[in-house]
Parts: sequence; structure tokens; C-alpha cells
Amino acid sequence: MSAAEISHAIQEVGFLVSFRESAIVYPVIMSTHLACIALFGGMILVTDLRLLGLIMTEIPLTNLVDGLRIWKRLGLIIMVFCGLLLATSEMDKYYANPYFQIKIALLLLVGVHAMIFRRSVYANTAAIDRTPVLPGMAKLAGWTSLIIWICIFSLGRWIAYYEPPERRPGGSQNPTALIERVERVTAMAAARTPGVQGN
Amino acid sequence: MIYDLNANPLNSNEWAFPLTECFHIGSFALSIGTIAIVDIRLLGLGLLKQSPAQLLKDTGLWTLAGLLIVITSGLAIFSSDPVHYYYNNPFRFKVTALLAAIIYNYTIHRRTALSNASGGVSVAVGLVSLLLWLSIVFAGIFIAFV
Repeated sequence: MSAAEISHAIQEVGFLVSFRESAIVYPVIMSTHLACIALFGGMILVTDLRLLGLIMTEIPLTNLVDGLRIWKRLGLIIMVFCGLLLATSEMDKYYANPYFQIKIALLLLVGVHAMIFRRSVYANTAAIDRTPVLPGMAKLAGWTSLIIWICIFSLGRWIAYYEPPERRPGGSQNPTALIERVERVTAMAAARTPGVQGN
Repeated sequence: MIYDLNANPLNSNEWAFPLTECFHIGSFALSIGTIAIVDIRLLGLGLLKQSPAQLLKDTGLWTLAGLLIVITSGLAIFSSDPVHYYYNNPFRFKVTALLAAIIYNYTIHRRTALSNASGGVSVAVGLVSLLLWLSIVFAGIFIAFV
């Protein structure tokens, strides 16, 4: 089986078809995905900025990391769950999308990041709080996490703008308005060209 | 004078629109994330070693910075297709809820956090704050689905 066939088989699973075609459930799940980015992505951002010594410096790192840990974990689970639904329901489109592929690779890198910095930073906050200056490892963890997450949500946006070399005839219509937007802008560009009528 | 959509860089440069969206998302994550940190404390669900007042003071500047970027990028996105947005109901809801959320954030929410209130009042204030901000995110997505 080719990747294309596997992807097609995935997105034709019954509940994914009804999910994709639902006028309410699909946008609700997409909204939930974004709401998780707002709430828990925001908390990740704050933790990163704290590791860089840019925010909440009067609050011990331990209190912040311990206090937000459960929420960030819960948020990540909901975010990934919604993301999985969104991606698998249109696997035909996603699997060959380079932005999607890099995004998945970076999500795996998040796990690697957590493993690398667990011992020296995230499980070592009490010792870090006792040092007068934030150690280099903490700052490194903050910077790398910040960069990885900014890339992840940005790639999420770019996924919607990727146009495959040839659009499959009869393929499912991506219900996001972002594709529609691209089409609208393309139509505008076509309208600018004399003799070509945009729709 | 008729506004020429094609003259807007968001419609003529293929990078401009998604990049603006990225600023929009990054900055609302910063603002809503910092507000949520105060809300979680008001709800008594975490960060109990810190007072709500301290959390608010330590995050306030970042919340404001995020709001400035999210509004600026939002206005830019609006300018890319104003008529479409103007007649869009989720967009109208979003703008109304955003104004309400900003006023709420700098009045009731701020006063409650600074007074270190606890119990029913603080739970209610935190809950309203979270629901208000999340409704804006939901409306933002639904703009594309009506």
C-alpha cells in the first residue's frame, strides 16, 4: 500500500467522514484546538519567558513549573486529540503537505526537548531557584522551546496555504476558509490580468 | 474613492497574510495565556502559593503587549477584506465580545485580582474571564465557517 492509499483509507473511516462533513463539529474541534493554543500554549510561552528571566521573576520557578504542569499536560492532550481529528479527517491532503510533515517532526522534537532538559531544568527547579542567576541550561531550554513552539503554530498556519503540484480532481473540499481565501486572492489576481475573468 | 483590495499587501504578497495570522495567534496565546494564569488562581485551581494580585502584577505588561499586537494584526487582517468581515456575524460577535473582555479585564477582573478576593466572587470572576476570552477564539474560527 502506498502512503496515498493508506492516507485515503484513514480519512474514509466512517466517523472521520461525518466529522469532516459536519458544519458544527468540525469548526468546534478546530476552535477547541485554537483555544488550547491560547490557554496552554500561552502557559508554555510564559514558562519559556520565565526560564529566560523575562517574566514573573519574583515568583520561584518551582512554583510556576509545578503549578502549571498539570494544566499544560491536560492542554497538550486536548490539543493533540483535536489536531489528530483535524489531520486524519483530511489525511489525503495532509500527508503530502511539507508544512504538516515538518510540524509533526517538531512535535516529536518537543518530546526530545522535554527528555533532554528534564534532569537539568524541569525537575531541577528548586536548585535553579537557589542560584542568583538563571543557569545557561535553563535559558537554553527556554529559547529552544520558544523557537520550536513558534515554528509549530506558524507551520499550522502554512499548512492551509500549501498548494500541491496538481490538485486532485474530485478531492474533498477543504472546509477552511483559508483555502477559500487563497482561491479568492488567486481570482483577484486573475481579474487583474486582461482577458482573464476571475470568479 | 474606492478601496482597492489588490493594493493591500496582505492580498498581493503571498507571505504577508499567513505571517500576520502567526503574529495574531502568537500574541493572543500570550495575552490569553497570561490572563488564564490569573484566572486559574482566582478559580483556586493552581498556583495557590502565589496571590492573585502578585500574578496579575507580574503578567500585566505581557498581557498588554499581547493585546496591542493582537489588535494591530487583527486590524490588518480586517483590512484585507473589510466588506466580507463587516457582514459576518461571528466577526460582529467577536468584536463585541473583545470590547467587553478588554473592559472587563481592566475593571472587574483587575479589581478582584488586586483585592485578593477568594471564594464565590473570585471563582465567578475567573470563570467569566475564561469564557469571555475563549468565546472570542471560537468566534474567530467561526468567521470562516458561515
